[in-house]
Amino acid sequence: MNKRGITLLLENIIFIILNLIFIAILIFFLISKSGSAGVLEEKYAKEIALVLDSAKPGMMINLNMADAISTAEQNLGKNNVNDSIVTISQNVVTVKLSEQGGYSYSFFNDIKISNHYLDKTGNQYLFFIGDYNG
Amino acid sequence: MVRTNLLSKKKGADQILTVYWFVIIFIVAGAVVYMAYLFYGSPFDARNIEGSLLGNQIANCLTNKGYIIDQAFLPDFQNNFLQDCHLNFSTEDFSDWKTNTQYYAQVVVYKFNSNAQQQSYGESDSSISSNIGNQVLTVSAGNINLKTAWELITPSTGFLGLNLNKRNVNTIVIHDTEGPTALGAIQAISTADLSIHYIIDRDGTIISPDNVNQFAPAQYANALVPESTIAQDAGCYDTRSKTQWPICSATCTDSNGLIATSCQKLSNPPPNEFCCLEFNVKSIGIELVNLGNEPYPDTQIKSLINLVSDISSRYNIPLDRAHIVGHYQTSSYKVDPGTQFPWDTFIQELTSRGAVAIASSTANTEQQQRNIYALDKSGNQYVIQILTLVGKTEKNV
Repeated sequence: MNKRGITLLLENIIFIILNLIFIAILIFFLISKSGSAGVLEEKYAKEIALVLDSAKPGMMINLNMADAISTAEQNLGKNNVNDSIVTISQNVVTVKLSEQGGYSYSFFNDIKISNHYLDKTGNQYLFFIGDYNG
Repeated sequence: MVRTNLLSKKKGADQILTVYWFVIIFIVAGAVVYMAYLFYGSPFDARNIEGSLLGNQIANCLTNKGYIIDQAFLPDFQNNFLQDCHLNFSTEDFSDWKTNTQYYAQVVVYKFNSNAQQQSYGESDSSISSNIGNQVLTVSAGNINLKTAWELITPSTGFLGLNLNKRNVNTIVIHDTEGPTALGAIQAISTADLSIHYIIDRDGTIISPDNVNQFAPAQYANALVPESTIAQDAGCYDTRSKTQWPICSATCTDSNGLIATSCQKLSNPPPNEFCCLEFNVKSIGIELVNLGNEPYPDTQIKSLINLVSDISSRYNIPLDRAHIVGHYQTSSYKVDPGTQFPWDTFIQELTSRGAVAIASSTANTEQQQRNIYALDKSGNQYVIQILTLVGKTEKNV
């Protein structure tokens, strides 16, 4: 192959590699954005509030939160992820997966949450619904 | 020769193309990043499901296997509607959630007209609704302002969102009731054959023609009129100082002492004073429940700011003291809203907020209405109309 041909090939390969890198960065950005703590906090705060809105006394609810637990472990450290990633107080659900973040959403169903805890091995969060308040 | 020139320029042209290519790629990437921020930055809407769940819970609470529960008609149920239906609208206080609850629920039960029931079966909804009989039960709970805000724009908004009943308004007049309660004010206004567009209670509740029935007996409901109607509230315009208020261009008396048609002589007038109707014609009146000599609660002022901001946005009224005036400025012998009204902070907060339509918060309010049909044990038929409104209930902590 002559010198000019090699130069042309090299230029084209570099051009293609640069384009691929660029597209990869863009895709990585989109994926990281969709799996960010803020998005997951909002998603699970609303999901839990809606589940609790439709809950009846005596129910046990298992919610798969694998992606949220994994994100919390990255942000808070593996040993610091515990039941407190979800708090429920006075009809408000708060999901907190990072030190700085957190998202709250209210629900209207007047139920008592008798217990709720994180089951790390099953990657799920469990809610036990008691009786109605009042 | 020409061919040689072209060949020599091809490499340069390629380089320019490459630069353009990267410019285009950066523009596309910028657009993608912007869209991603826009998409993930705005909250996704769960209120539709929430409103539906709330409606279901109320329907399940009021009926059992197609029968309306007996307790529904007992006063106890009506007083403890939320508790009996296992609803709790008071949440932990994030972002003022406690004072401005995020939900509103209203149940209206109509007794089906038994004389017309035969012909209504199998026919369209419109024929059913024409057979709806007397209202036998009305229960509501939650943040009435959600409903008011929702209703403020809906009655006057027509095809393609055009406001069909819009008046040419350029002033907002603020009054105080000189009395302790909203009910007293409504009765007094109605009895004096006057009218007003809005009354704001001490707790910030906005009373409008749409919800006045919840605050006063029906015979006083004419005290509140919709924005599309001229209210008789701004009172009389002092002809002696009219140069201060260019809004009223009318001269109330001509050289012969005749009263112009746009003016109205008072039945018991202060000297040389006339009612300039033009003020009422071009203004919207808001009464604040206050004795006139007491401080205004923050919740009431906050509600006033929201309302004035909304009205200003819809009528393009400038947010300044020339266009947002006290009653004392339209009638020289009036003093309201009184010396305790915080004009400076009110105007300051209003201008910093800007003209923001309540419609924007209304857009953030999910409204659902459903009709369900039920029987009582005697076989009477009822239509239960359930209205649920869910406000914006999210908060980053």
